[in-house]
Amino acid sequence: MKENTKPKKKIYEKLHMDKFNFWTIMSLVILILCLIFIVYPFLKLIVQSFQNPDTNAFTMSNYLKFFQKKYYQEALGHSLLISTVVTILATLLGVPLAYIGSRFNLYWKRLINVMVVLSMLSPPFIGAYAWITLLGRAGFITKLLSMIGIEMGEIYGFKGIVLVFTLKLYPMVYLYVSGALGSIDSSLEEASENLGISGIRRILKITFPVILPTILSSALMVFMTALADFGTPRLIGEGYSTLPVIIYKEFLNEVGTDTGFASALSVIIIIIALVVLFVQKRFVDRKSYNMTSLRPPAVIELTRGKKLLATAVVFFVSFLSVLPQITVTIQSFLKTNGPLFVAGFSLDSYRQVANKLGRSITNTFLYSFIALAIIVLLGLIGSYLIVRRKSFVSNLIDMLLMFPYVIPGAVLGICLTVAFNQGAIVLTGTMWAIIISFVIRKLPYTMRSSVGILYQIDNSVEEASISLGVPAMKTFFKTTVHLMLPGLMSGAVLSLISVMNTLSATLILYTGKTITISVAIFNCVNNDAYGQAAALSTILTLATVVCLLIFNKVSGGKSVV
Amino acid sequence: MSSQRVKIDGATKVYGDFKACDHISLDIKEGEFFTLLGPSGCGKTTLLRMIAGFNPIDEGKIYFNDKEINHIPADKRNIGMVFQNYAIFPHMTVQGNVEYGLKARKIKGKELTDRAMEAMKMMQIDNLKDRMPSQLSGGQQQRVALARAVVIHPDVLLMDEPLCNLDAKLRVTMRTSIKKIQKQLNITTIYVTHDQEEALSISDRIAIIHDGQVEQLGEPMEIYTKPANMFVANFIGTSCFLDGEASGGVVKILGVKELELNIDKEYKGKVKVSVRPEYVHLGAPKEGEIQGTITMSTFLGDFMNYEIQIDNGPLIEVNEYTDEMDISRKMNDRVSLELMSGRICVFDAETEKTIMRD
Repeated sequence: MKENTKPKKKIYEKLHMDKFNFWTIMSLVILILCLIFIVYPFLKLIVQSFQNPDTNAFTMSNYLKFFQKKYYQEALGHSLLISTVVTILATLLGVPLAYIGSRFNLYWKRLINVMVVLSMLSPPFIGAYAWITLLGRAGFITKLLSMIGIEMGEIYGFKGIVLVFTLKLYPMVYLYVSGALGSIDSSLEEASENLGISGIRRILKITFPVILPTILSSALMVFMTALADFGTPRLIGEGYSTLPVIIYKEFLNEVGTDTGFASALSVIIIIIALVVLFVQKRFVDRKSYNMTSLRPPAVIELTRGKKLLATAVVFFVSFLSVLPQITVTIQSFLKTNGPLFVAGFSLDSYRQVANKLGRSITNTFLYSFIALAIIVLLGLIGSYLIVRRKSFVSNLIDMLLMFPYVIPGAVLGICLTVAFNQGAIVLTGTMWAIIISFVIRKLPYTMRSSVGILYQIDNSVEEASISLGVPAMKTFFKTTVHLMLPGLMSGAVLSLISVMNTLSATLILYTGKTITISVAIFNCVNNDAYGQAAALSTILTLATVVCLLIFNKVSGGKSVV
Repeated sequence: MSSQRVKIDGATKVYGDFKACDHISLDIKEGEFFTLLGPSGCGKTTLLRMIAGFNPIDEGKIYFNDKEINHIPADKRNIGMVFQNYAIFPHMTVQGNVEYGLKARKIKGKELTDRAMEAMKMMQIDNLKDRMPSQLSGGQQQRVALARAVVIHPDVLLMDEPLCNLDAKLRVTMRTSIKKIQKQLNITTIYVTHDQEEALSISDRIAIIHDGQVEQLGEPMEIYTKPANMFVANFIGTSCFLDGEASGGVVKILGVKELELNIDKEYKGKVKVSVRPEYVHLGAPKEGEIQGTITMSTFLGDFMNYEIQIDNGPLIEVNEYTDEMDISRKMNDRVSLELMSGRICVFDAETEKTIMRD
């Protein structure tokens, strides 16, 4: 509630804040953290993009270089083309599948959902490398087909990237749209049929427009992920470079690092992401419907034949998307000879991994859990400030915490490196750099979900507690924290899975000591150690599955959406 | 139980340019059931929340007995509050909810369980003590909320539209039990509602709040029969207004009918005459009386409700008890309207204030 401002305004009154209490202190602490770890690195990035790396003098040359060389503009074109095509394909795939999956009684619904979720949560580059081992030059399927005389086209480049992204990203659309379809009040559709519009026309006139905002926001997530991802185009793109690949190359060029140019490219990609976000926001905000489903739509019983057909379609697509995981899991148990898989099974890959890369496994879990603890704590306090202690500062925090949503992982890595490799806070090379990148990447999502949870909890529960004699601070922990925790924890498990699987920022921030599983997998793939990559991927997948099981427990058997 | 007098002295709350409460002063007696009644957005809830300590007081003072409470934080005011949506703690059992405030007061052991049990018995929820709130009906949740508020022996009990989420029948039952318990505990109670019928039935005294100000303060009967102004006449019950001219204690209504009324004899000029549906006798059309045509009739069980278009006047509602009816009236019937001169009220057409004499 906005506090009134009377004649003599104190500073906190001007900012619409309460007097100094726990929450004012907390909002200042979080604001300062935002300034240090989000604003400062980003400003530093902008400054660097206008600097000559050697002399530190002001220059426009970094941007001019981008606009002068066709190669870079091509990369931008590639990025936009791929993101657009993938967004369209993922939506075209995800929406109908979601409709079939949520409205009809398919066989093996649970299995299908598990496959969809699993494919969404694994890092995209594992998909890229698995598809290379299947459809690449020396790929399993390629060889199989050429034996019977069919020559496959090239999987590399544009086609490969689109294939991997589409299969990896349509699950986002599928899951969100399934959720929206399940919360449409069935009377809406019944009203339409009652008025004489049914079947496909009803879907187009009622169902589709109502879930359109959800489709658009999931499409935005697909676009952002495709735009920001670095691992996939790096592995399967070969000559087909996208912006993140170039940024990464320029920043970590072994021949000579061009920090200034990498910064300029980073700023360009952030601007693109911001523009897309604003366009989408305008579109969605204008057409969003609040739906409280009194009676969710009934699941339609199909006849046996139709049911088999529908199941086959959905199952086929979800199986394709989880095929990379299945492939690497099988490969991890194969005997290897150098980069090649040979006949026969063994646990050699796991043995090699345990010897050489055991650290990456412990690191991953250690960093992820520390990051998770910070995320939950900040999510709890931050969302409370944003929802219940509205003030100038809390609005600012809200904006600042959402900003990382548009920063691609590789760019975040660069931001943190340039900001903290010297000066008062030196983090480069430490585990904290990686943990902070985890926190910054995931906090926007946790923030959104905990703000949502908090809006569901009526403020009068806290007031009741206060009026019964429990002071405000203690009330917060005895009521609100209690009520938020289940929702927050189930969101946190998803964040945990996601940080465990994250690659791009870590790839820039890691050192030999702070290597994580994703980075180790990426390095193994780069060094053609496919067996070890497969073993590590399998471990990562297993950890993901375990977390999912925990999630199902925590969220009380609710499905992952 | 230490019931307290509540004195509100010029309480003001401003949001930007909007005065939610504008220098409200009230004196609420010990053990009184006092209702703040008004349309939504009138400032009644804002005032209640100022008393509870959830809204800071911008100007003015609030006292419990003689102690100013402006700067006492909400958790130290020893207030029992019942919320519109009950605000039951969803993660605690019924007993856990009732014991919550006692535990905050460091009450332990036998006294804790005894007092909680006593409160639950009084609200007839002792058989539900181990249930979770999600297993309770709306009425049961309301009882838990009330038990939880009174178990701490509050100095003042505040209730914010506690019945508005219940169905009509339950609302009537609950309002009777609230009144009984309030009298039994003799606890000063401030009750907020927008439902005038509820306010009339439950309160010792009512303050009608409108646009952040007190329009009228009085006992239910007084407010109903002697509204201080046209707003109150219109808000409490149903009133229709007829134009008239007053002079020397006589009012000429609609230029047709002259009535000698108990008004200020000095007053001369335009007036509004408020007529409640039950303050009219209908008769056969007669010259020199107010006449009209029935445009709608509604059967409401014990009485008929007619909508009558008065000749050269407004549409007016009239009730006629079914047992008094000698003729059944039909649409388009012509009738004359005889106003009960002892009951109708007269207001200055300009200021809209009453010109009735006591």
